[in-house]
Amino acid sequence: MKRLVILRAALVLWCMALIQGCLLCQEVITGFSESVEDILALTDEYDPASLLEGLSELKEYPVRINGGDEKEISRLFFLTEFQVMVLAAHVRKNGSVVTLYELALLPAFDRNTVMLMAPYISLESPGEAGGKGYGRTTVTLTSSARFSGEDNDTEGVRSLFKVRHERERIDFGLTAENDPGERFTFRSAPGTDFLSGYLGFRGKKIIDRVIVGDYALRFGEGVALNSSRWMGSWLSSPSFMSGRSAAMPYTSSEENDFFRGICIAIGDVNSGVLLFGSSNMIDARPLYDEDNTFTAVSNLVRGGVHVTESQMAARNSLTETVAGLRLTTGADRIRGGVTAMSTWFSQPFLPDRSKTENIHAFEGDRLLNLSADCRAGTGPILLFAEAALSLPGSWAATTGLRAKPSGRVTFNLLARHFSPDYHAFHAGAYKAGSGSDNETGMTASLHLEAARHLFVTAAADHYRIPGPRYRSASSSYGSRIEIKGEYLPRDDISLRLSFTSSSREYDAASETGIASSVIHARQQVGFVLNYAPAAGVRLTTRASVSAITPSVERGYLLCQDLSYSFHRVPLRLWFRYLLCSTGGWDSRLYAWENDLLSSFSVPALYGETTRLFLMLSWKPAEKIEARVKYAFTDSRNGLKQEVKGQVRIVF
Amino acid sequence: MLRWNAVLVSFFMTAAGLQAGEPLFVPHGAASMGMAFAVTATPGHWSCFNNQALLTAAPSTSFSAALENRFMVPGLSSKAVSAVIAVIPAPLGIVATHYGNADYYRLFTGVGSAVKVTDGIALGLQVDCITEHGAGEYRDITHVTFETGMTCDLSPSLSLGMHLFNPLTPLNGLPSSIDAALHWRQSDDFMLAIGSSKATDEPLSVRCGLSWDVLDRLVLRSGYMSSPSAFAFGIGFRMATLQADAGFLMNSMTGVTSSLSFIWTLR
Repeated sequence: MKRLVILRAALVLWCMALIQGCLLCQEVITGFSESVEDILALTDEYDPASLLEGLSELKEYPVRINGGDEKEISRLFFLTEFQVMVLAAHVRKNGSVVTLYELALLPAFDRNTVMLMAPYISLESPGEAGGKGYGRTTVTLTSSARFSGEDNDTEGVRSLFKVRHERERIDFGLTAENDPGERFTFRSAPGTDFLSGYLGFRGKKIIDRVIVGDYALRFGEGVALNSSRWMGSWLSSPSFMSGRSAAMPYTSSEENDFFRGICIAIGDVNSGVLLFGSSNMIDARPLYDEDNTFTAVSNLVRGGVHVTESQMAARNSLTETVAGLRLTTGADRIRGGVTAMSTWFSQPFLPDRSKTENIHAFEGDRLLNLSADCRAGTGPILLFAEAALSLPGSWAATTGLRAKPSGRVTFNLLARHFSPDYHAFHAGAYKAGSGSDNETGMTASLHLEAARHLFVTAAADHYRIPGPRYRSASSSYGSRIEIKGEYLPRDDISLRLSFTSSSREYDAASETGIASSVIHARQQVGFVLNYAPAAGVRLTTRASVSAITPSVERGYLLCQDLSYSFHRVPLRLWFRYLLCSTGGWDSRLYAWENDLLSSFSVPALYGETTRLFLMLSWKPAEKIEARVKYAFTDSRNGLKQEVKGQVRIVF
Repeated sequence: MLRWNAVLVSFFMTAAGLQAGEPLFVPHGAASMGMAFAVTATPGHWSCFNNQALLTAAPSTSFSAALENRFMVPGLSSKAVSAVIAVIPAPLGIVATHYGNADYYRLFTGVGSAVKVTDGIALGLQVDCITEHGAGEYRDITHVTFETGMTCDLSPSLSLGMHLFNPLTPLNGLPSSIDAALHWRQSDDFMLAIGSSKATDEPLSVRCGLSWDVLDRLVLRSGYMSSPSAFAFGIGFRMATLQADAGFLMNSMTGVTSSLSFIWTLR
């Protein structure tokens, strides 16, 4: 009897620990999702798809940090080299990490970084990790369909198939995708509209990594090369530093921003060489001469949807051939690298110079990019910098620091300059606007543990756009301010209050003559209450208000989420009811939704809108999970319905 | 404690809504500029002239000279000298500034003092004389006004400061301003300050700054002010009785305003 009591007590304690762990993960995801909402509210140009796919992948394969393996830890792509090094050294020296709170005390780490890491790491010891012998294979099949009363391009079925296999030395993967409206055909296509794959090898001696097929590269701060950007313009991110320089297999379904060929990494973390070559067909807007001969392209086309005639004409119309190398060297406290990359296009770029935003656009069919980057320091101050040159074109540079003056304070600062005629087609440095050019600015943020359980983040960004761009015929200015407060009195309850303000100078609408400028400003206040009233139940209440000037538009959003895990059956349910009322598109609001695995949904809500969704997850075995989601949006534009289904098998 | 916090919040909100004016006194001190002038509750030689009550925190007598170069335009530069005489129980502060050029200039002189009312609360007062010289037919103008400040230690590490400049606006027509700030010494090496400033016909400016003693002699500062929106940076170097500071305000439209100051402290 006594043994039974002890057993029950142990079981209860274990369940409590498990629940708390789950709650922490939920909490982190909520915090991150709000950041994505804020970014989307401030700019339409940010595409979080690749970031979210990367995070989804990490969630499926959490990083086992207690192995002390730098390569394994560096899968957390948002960590810098120093953070990877510090964490690996800590594990090797002091043994396994037992709690997340332990990590926040390490040099170069802070609470925000640890909270970002939390859902994507595993604290199990290396010996507990299974599936090493035969590796691990994950198969995911996703299908979604949208219906509405109107005929439009967004209707139809989207299909996504992903396979990934990983062993100690070898890994390979395949991604196949058809967007809504795209046909499955072998005519000028490999069956599906987008097909991507890779074969990777991890060496133990001189050769560190070989990837054949599709891959992504991230070097330095991304001024010259970062086809795997992770933070967009996230103002309150824990750090403005880019993650660790790396070559990674490409697993995303974004159809243009990657390399297709081979890359070879030789050497180790401290010094080495990376050689890469690629020939990839990408989407571009074709230009024809009088004989209807394809002679040039005007611009690249993003999105990857090929349904209409113009989209089909742009599909794979340009071949981008890239060859380059990167040399790295360094020691514990300083390391740096130089990158050289040459790009050839099968057709020359011929931008429409009659449009002011194209005055500095790239012209020609060859481009040479050179860059040098360095990072220095450990402990309380980390410095980083990268300078790059494009030929033809001009230069760009970014530099900053991350300081931790005390255990409760982290300070970030970043200054940047991108000349209007600087060109880099795979850049991904920290900047407010999209593209690789035309911005000079300064950003600072402060993360503060103001009191017990109370965390405050304040950040500001001021930038100038020196050359003309879309909707600004002359130089213009912009700014962003973000203040966030988090109160986390217990593990099962959290309160968040945020204020964001952004402004941009645009041309005022005028019929003739030189346009004067007008400042468009957007202010938004958000409130989120997240609580778990009982085991297996989680409720999230959120409210947002937006205000736009000079159009004097206003908007508000009220939303209630419920998630419930059934006790006796392996089912989990998510439910949302949302009301939104805004004066128009400018005052639109966003609300992150739980979605299928490796997927995300952050719908833009405007006008008088009601949205509801119901999602069910069935996990009959540890290695199998199926999800079904139904959503509808009722607005003045009519009723739109959406059905999604997914099966994932891991073996 | 809750009631006390509510009083503080009410005060800040009231201070934020008050109508005051652009101060005629150009704030000086590179250390203050490095923290975006969020120094109404922060002790320091030049902070004494942003809030006279801080004179009571002056550890010893000191003298200083400062130069501010607004937008890097020499014609908009401002020069200042000051002294803080650490006399117990009422220290004395003397300041004189010159702004402008040979054709137009403004001389600002002030004499102030402060006393500790109780443990943790200090009051300060300064009498100012402002002389403006105009070119050509414009006649010279002289005004006499005053400014007052208060500091309150809310806890051993947290203090509140308030400052009011020229409350005689209806009489002399000069703009006035009101400032309030909190100063938090988080550790021996690191402090944070946040405050607000409202001047007549100007929008409310929210300011925050931090100061970090990286090494024994080296101080790094940074700050941000919302109106005019600008980032601030500063660096300070101490050696024996001499302290040298440099500060920069960076505005994306108007450019850089720089400041340099030297403080000599008698031990």
